[in-house]
Amino acid sequence: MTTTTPRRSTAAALDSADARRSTRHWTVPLVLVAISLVLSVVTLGIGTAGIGVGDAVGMLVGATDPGKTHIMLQFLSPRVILCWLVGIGLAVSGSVLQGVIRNPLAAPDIIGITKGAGVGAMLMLLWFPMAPTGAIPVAAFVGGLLAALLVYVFAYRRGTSPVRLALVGIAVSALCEAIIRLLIVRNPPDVNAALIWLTGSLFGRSMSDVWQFLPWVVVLVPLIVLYARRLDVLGLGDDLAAGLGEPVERTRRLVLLLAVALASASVAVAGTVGFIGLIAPHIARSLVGGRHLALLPSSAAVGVTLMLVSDAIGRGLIPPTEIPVGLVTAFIGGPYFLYLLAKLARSTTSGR
Amino acid sequence: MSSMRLEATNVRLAYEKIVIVDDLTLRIPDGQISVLIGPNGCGKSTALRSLSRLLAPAAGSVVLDGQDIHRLSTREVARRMAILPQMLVAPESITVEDLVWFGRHPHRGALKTPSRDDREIVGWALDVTGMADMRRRFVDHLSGGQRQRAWIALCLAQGTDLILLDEPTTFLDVAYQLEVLDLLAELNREQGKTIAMVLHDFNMASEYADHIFVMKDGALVTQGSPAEVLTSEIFHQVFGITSQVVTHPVSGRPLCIPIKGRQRAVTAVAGRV
Amino acid sequence: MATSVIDGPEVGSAAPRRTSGSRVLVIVISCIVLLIIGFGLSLSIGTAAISFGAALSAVFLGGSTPADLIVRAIRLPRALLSMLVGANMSVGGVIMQGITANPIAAPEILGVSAGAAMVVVAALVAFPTMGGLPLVAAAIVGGAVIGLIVLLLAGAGTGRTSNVRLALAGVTIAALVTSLTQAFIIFNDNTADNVFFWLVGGVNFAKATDVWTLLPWTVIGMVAAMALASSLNLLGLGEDMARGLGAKVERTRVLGGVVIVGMTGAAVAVAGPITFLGLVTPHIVRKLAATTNHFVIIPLSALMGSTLLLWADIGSRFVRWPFESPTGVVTAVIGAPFFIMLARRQKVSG
Repeated sequence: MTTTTPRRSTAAALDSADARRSTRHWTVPLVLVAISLVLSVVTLGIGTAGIGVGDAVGMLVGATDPGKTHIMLQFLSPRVILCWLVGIGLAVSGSVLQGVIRNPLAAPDIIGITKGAGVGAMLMLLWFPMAPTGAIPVAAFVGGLLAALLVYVFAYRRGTSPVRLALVGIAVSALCEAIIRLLIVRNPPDVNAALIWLTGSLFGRSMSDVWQFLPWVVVLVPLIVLYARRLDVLGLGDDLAAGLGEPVERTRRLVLLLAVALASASVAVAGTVGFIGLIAPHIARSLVGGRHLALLPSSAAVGVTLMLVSDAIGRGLIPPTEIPVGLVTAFIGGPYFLYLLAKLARSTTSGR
Repeated sequence: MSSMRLEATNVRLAYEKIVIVDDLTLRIPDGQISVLIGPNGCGKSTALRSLSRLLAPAAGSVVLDGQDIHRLSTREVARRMAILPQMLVAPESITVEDLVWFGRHPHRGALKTPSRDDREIVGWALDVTGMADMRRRFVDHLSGGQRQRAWIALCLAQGTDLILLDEPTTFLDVAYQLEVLDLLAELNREQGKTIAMVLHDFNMASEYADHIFVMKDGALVTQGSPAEVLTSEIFHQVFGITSQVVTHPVSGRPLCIPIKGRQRAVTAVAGRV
Repeated sequence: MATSVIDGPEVGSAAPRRTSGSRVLVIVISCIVLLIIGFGLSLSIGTAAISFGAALSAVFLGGSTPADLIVRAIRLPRALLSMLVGANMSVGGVIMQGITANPIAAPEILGVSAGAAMVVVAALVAFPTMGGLPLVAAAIVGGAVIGLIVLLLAGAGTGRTSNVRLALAGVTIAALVTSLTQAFIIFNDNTADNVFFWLVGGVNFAKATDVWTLLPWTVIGMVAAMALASSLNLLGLGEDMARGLGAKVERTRVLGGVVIVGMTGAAVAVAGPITFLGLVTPHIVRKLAATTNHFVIIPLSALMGSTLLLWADIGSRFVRWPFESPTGVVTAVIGAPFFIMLARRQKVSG
């Protein structure tokens, strides 16, 4: 049955297999990025009175009226850039969480991070209305971090099991939700504004918001990508991962911290936009498979596309009224999630 | 007398407050196949977990190559010892090849590119386990025996001389059980790998083991070669069964034949027990 | 040997054991005592200080002083409603945990409450004066549809679904539904404030009509639940075993679903979606009474649920005295740690 000398052919064959597989890992994100770039330009022309898609395209070649160009660059381009950043942030965060919790239904919105960040931001808004706007992302980050810490601590019992993380996350999330609602109820005049922020919106965001958020993405995402293979190893189960030399608890902790930071920062800038962190990884996985080195970039690309599409729809559906982007993602994401669940239910293997 | 690279000395093993094993000493002989057997709950899996660094002892020490295993990093240990746990979770839709590549993890840094050596060892692991032709197939689509061989290939790709396995044959059809155990025997014979495993089936243990550890109620009852250890007295004492131990007609190893209740009465009358 | 685990009270772990009758008696008596005290407190505590005695006389002896009117028109309905809602949600939780064999199932976890809430908000936005039976009907429809979707999609009917998957699915769908609900509120400025308060869950502004609306559902629901008790006991042995013993599994599930949706929907229609009660009360009862017998668990859960919510409502008055806080917040604050405790006892799998 076996020979003991390594066959040259097997080792060589492994080389070509690697090469063949990698192509899809590159083409998918590239295609999505290309689509997103086109969308980014097009979307500048949507939703604002007096400015159309033609103006947006024309701006690229300098053929548009400077007044319109100014409006697009000043008011709309920050939103577009934020779509990119938030899309990347939430999608990568979601991918990591699904890998660590080993459950395809995990997402920052579900396990308490986004809600915790929401509490942080709301408290800042209510208690210190005079504080500079730069303080809000920090407050959100603190809130998200505290919520995640709570989840981690309560889920810890000689180590954290993915099951416990998910369940405790649900509880903490519900708790934060209740606190948020209590806060809103105390301040009736602001109910609408608060609700809109809660649902997730990019309304009125400016370049300063972009500069605030950019460092988080630029620093955290590459760090997470560095951990890609180790995330794969974690997916083999705690015992085998330890057997393969992975300090399981330590890696999990660090990676969770990065994901939480990323998600919290996203919440700080855009409110609690739901479903991107849940769905982008799924779509990416069906396109390029579950290895994180391929999954993370593709997931980010999907996230960006989703955000751009949602923002465009939100602004363009019933102008000049703007539907908060979080609502649109819920409408798109919700049915897709239901479809996902149905597919999961139908598969005969009861995956955990 | 063979040397011992891996040993547990006077260990007490507990989960939370429940003590499973107390004052256990196990020395795994190098270059041999060792098997731990015993009834459910005797602590054999727990003992293996402590040997594989998955469970820290509450008392006593586990030593690998003369160093306390818990002073070494997980990565360092992974380079010297491979573990195959009982519960195996394969990520969805993973190919055999991708699975086996995980075995190189302890040797690869954060840099992505696999080295020439990595490729050679993975290729060898696939060849030795006979999985080379199936390397592109999905693990979930394999038969029980093939799947287990794929996991063993993963352990082999780690390139260690020491392999620990927790019940590698439970849930497999008997043909696949033999397939897996034959593979392990060959690895021991031709590559000199030290194998330590927990087996449920004591007759299988008898066939394949060089050295057997018999455990009951968290303690080591006896140890030695199958011929020394597997007697009807031990089977009665440890497993609570009446049996007759004969010599296997082909392999010459001890073969335990449990005697049923009624027959027990008959044989007692006939004066043979 | 598998990793040793320390289980929480398992649903359906063994055949119903003989309860120590004295434990049940102690629990019943304690709850009744607490209910009576709570009832009195609920009537007397508020911005208008009314003594215990005065409150009770207002209820039973009539009278038309301003204090009497306050008690009868505002506080009495509130106290009664909290008791009824507590009972409804708890029994809903018991049945849900029974038919899904999932200790972390509950109407709010599996989206029933959120679904009911969404339809109610939509209805109120369209018809601001809607109330009573039509509103309850709307709530029931909403709860039924969403709950069904979650159960079906998480594969509760087909083979084994992991409990966690069911919970995550339910929570996500509930989140989706809540976004929709929030959308209704956002795009209708005039409904914002009170609807939102209601959305958080509270009996704070209960009216007498609410009590009358809910009461029939509570009574009928309890009767129906008790009728299911023996089937639920059998289901606790596992689906196959139950079938082997003659239980009609599908029918029990469907009827159970109807009871859940009816009781929960009606409660949500009058008091908004109150969280954690349905999840937590059954566990407390099972632990204290040391039983898995639904003939005991159902009525005890109703009793204990009433007591818990009554006291939660009293507590909600102190959160921001003298302002009202939604009762739903109090139940969440108490319930969440409890759920966390439950989660910590879940088996560790790999």
